[in-house]
Parts: sequence; structure tokens; C-alpha cells
Amino acid sequence: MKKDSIVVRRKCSISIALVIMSLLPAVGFAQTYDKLLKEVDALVSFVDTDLSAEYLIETRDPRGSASATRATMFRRDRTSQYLILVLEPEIDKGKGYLKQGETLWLYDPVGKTFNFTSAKDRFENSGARNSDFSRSSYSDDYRAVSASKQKLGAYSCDVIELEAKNDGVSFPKVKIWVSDDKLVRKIEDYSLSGRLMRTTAIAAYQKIGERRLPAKMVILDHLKYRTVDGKTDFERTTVTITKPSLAPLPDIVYTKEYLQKVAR
Amino acid sequence: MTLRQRKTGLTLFAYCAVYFLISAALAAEEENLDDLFDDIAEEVTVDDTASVDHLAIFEKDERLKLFGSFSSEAGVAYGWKELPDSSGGFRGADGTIGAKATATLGFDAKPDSTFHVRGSSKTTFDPLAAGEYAFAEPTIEELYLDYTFVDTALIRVGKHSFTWGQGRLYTPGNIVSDSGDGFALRISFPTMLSGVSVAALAQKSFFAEPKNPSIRELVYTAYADHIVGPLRIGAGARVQNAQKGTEIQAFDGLLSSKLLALGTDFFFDAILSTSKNNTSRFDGMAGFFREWGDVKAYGEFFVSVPYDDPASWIRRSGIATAWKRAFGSKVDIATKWLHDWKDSSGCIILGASLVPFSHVTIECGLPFFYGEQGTYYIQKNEDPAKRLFAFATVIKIQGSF
Repeated sequence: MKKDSIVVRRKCSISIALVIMSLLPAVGFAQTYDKLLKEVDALVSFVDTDLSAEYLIETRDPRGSASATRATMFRRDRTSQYLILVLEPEIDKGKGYLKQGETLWLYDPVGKTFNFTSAKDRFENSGARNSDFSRSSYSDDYRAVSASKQKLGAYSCDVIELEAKNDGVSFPKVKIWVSDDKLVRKIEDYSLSGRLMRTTAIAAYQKIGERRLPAKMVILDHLKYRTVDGKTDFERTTVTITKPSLAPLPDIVYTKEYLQKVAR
Repeated sequence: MTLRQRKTGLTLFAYCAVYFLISAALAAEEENLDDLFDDIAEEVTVDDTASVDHLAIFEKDERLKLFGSFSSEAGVAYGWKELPDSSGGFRGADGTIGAKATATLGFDAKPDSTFHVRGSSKTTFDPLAAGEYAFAEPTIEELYLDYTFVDTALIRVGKHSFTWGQGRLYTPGNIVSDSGDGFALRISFPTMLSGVSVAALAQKSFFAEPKNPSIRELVYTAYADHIVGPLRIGAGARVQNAQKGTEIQAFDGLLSSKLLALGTDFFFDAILSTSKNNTSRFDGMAGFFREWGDVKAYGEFFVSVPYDDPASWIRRSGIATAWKRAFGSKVDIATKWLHDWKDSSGCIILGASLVPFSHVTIECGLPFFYGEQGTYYIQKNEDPAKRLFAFATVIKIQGSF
């Protein structure tokens, strides 16, 4: 009887050990990629300074018509704030987006009114989303579910599939290509059902101190397409970021009153 | 396996092969961004990271700017003053024409980043409403100065308006709706909570003796806003200690909240108004706003409960939609339905707007009013001919500089 009990105990111990051993790679995987995502975020976040830059957003729809928006962005990553002021086209001049924490305001200078808007919404009807202007937060908002190594043109990349930890993000599933220098080169955004919604290529970065800021991004919107003679064209948005500055900005910049004051 | 089964299997295999080949061919034709990575991109290093002052574009450039607009419109409306009864057919047909011109002229000066002056005036040529075939005397729409005090307080003094509350169709929360009618001093502390402001309003109608105003006759207001996650909470008050030299005090308290959930704005305003002459009441408004690209929708429900006769409470609702570039065309369309649940009156308006050429707008409307004579929305009908059902179209030429 005692012998049987010892055998059962041994079997239990072996089973537990096997379970733990089988879980170890998963824990290791999660830790490895969580660390990588943190490094990816840190490299493009400006937590100790303000960041301002000029954005040119050019959109070409699948039928060929084009539009362009020029805007100035002021960003403070340590408090999750940004202010975007539209400069062109002339009809939208003075329009402003103000992010204060989780809240995003859209100011209409004609009606002199503020509306709540969503970070998931398109920016000025382009392929860019309002959330694209926030600091990178892959490590806070997503968890890695799988990873592989892949060549992306001349870059050797880690391809990481991510799932959202919360429903505040624009896309519940994301696949990112991270090059060896810890920079995200390509992003595929998916719906919950797995439909590809958007592809973003960050073709070039600019170095500001020890941090990086995209210099040029190209976004294909897979929800807006046209197929002619078997060839599918998507709406294409090109975002060019110039004149980056780390000059400190007063607190008042990130307020509704300031937005009203400067929107003329 | 029989020959027939083999044939079926081969056919299925052939279909599958063709399907995958076509799919692969089509996939190959899809636009792709991978060619952007054929070469390692050269990384540009930005050395000078502090000298670019983006704020200067907004704060220092265009120190003096003149602006204005001119619009001229003409329209025709045809409709009926009575709805068809049991005998059928519309009665009281009436057609009218109209024309109007409006001009504004203003200036905006920013001598430096702390000081800003803005003013604008407006005049209107409206012979059918005024009976005069001349432009009216220009009126000052706004004239005020802004002073920024050590980047913490914004002071605005002069004739200017500001709004509280969140209603678009029903605005009981805007307890400072008369702020633009006279002279106002407002001090805002935008970095305190999510914004705090205090203001004093002065208007001729507030005073028993306008040339000898009492400080107790001024209207004082205060409002504080705070944002917690997706929730915005605001509280404000308006106080007047003595209305027109009497000892009647007036107080309006406002509690306002907005929540962003499921991509939709949900909001409410609750207003308690009291005065010593027993005209106290509670007003409430709740609504939603949602935007899907070019499509917008909002709805509101409004109640007003008098303190001395709560049974006579008023309740109204409204829902409106707007669709820019409807069906991929150049036409914007909109609908609005307002209804009074107490007296069963209401109005339904269908509208469309087209900009066929630069500066030219064509607007069409189909307003329909219903309810007994004397009911709320029948009285609110702004058509001078008081038509209940009409078709109206307006052509407008306008430009601004």
C-alpha cells in the first residue's frame, strides 16, 4: 500500500514537472518578446522632452483623385498629450485635434465647437488614424502570440503577431516586422476576424538624439480598393514628417483654450 | 474506387487547382509595399533639435490679418398652409421669392505672443424682412482682446460669446447664451484640472440704471471641467445677486457629463434654475453623437420640469443625420426630426446641398410641420408665410478672404 502511494506521488511529481517544463518555453517566449516590444516603444518615444514636427499627409484614392493635408503636431509623451493644428488645405485651416489622456477633441474653428472624437477614427479622411500620432505603445496594449524570422527586402526582421490586451486600440490584431536595430519597418493591422485592414510601411526614419522618428510612411487602406483588369489598387496615404524639434513647450499648448486661441 | 468516383475526384482536383492558380495570380496583382525595402534606407540625423519653433507659425506670424466674407442668395419656396383633410387635397397654396446679402469684415492682430485683438462687423441687405432696399447699419459681432498671463491664465475682455453645455438641438445647458450680447470679462486657467474659467457679464438689460450700475447687478459665472479616462465631467454656475435693482436673486447650476463609449459620444446636461420670485425649474438633456466617416448622426431628449407645477413638464426629442457626398456624389444630404411629446407637434426637414462650382451652393429643403394651431413647433415655424409643407430652394454665391 505504502509502495503504491510512493509510486503515485512520483507519477504526480513527474507530471507536474512535465507541465512546468512545457510551460517554460511559453513563459520565455512572452518575456523575450515583451522585452523586445518595450525596446521598440522606447526607441520612438520622447518621454523626457516635447516633440513637434510638420506632417504632410497625401492621399490618393483608388480612382486616382488626390488630396493633401499639412499639419503641425506637438506631442508630450510623458502625459499622453498631443495637439495637431491643420495648416492646409485652406478650407480646414485652424482645425485642431487635442489629445488629453484618453480623450481626443476635435475643434472646428468655423462653428467654434469642440467634439469628442475617437483615436480609432481616420485623420482628415486619410489612411492615417488619430492613434498614429500617439506614442508607440505596443508593449502596453498588445501581447505577442507568435514570432518568426523573415527577410523584408534588405532587412532581416522579427515578425511578431500581436493580440490586443484592451479594446482601446485601433486594431485588435497586428503583425509587425522589427528589424535588427529594433525599429518597426512594416505593420499589418487586422480585424478581430482576421481580415487585413491596413498595411503600413515605414520606409525611412530620422535620428533625433538617441531616439527615432519616422521620416516617411506609406499606408495602404485595404478597405478602400478598386479592382480593374485583375489588378487591385488600394487607397494609398503617404505621410512625410519634417522639421522635428525637441524644443520645450509650455503646458498651456495642450489645452482647449490654447487651441481656440491659435485657430484663426 | 469506381471509374466514376475517380473522374469526380479528378474534376474536383482540377477545379481546386484552377481556383488556387487564379487566386495566386490575383494576389500577385495586389498593390504591395515590400519593394520599399529593397535597399537599406539612409538614416538622416537631425542635429539641431531646438531651433525650430513651430509655435511661432501660430503665435507670431500674420501679425495683422484682415478677413471678411460676402454672400448673396436668392430663393423660391412653394407650399401649403393647410394639410389635406378628409376631403383630400392641399389648401392654402402659397409661393414666395426671397433675396438676401450678408457681408462681414474683420481684423485679427497679434502684436506679440501674449496679446491678441480681434474684431468683426456684419451688415445685411434683406428687403423682404426689413422692408428697406439698403444695407442695414453694421453691427459689431465681436470685439475683444486676449491677454496670456505667464502661460497660465488667458484673459479675454470685450464683446465675445462663449458656450457651455453640450446640446445641439436643445441647449438648456448653455446658461451663458447671452454672453455675446454685451461686455464680458473671462479668465481661464486651462492647466487647472482640465480647464477652469470664471467670468463676469455686463449688459444694459441687467441694470435698473445703466449709467449707474451696481456691482450686485452683474452676472458672475464659473465653470470647471475635468476628464477622467473616457469620462468628462463639468460643473458650472451663474449668479446674479440683484436683477435690475430688485432684490430678486437668480441662480443657475449646471452639471454636465460626456462619455465616449463604443465609438459614440453619450452626454447629458442637468440644470437647476432658481430665483426668489418662484420661477424655479429643472431642465435636463441627454443625447448621443456618432460619426462614421462622412455620415453623422445625433439625437437628444429634453425635459423641463417647473418647480411649482411639475405635472406640466415638457418633453421633446430630436434626431438628425447628415451624409456628406451621399452615394459617392457631390451632394450632401441631411434629415432632422423634432417632436414635442406633450402637444404632439413637430417638424421633419429633409435637406440637400450641392456645390456645383466654386463659391456656388444650391440648397434644397422640404420642411413639414405638424400639430394643432398654437402648439410648440407650429409656433416655432420660421417661415413668414407659415406654410406647413413646402419645397424651398436657394442659390447662394459666397466667398471669404
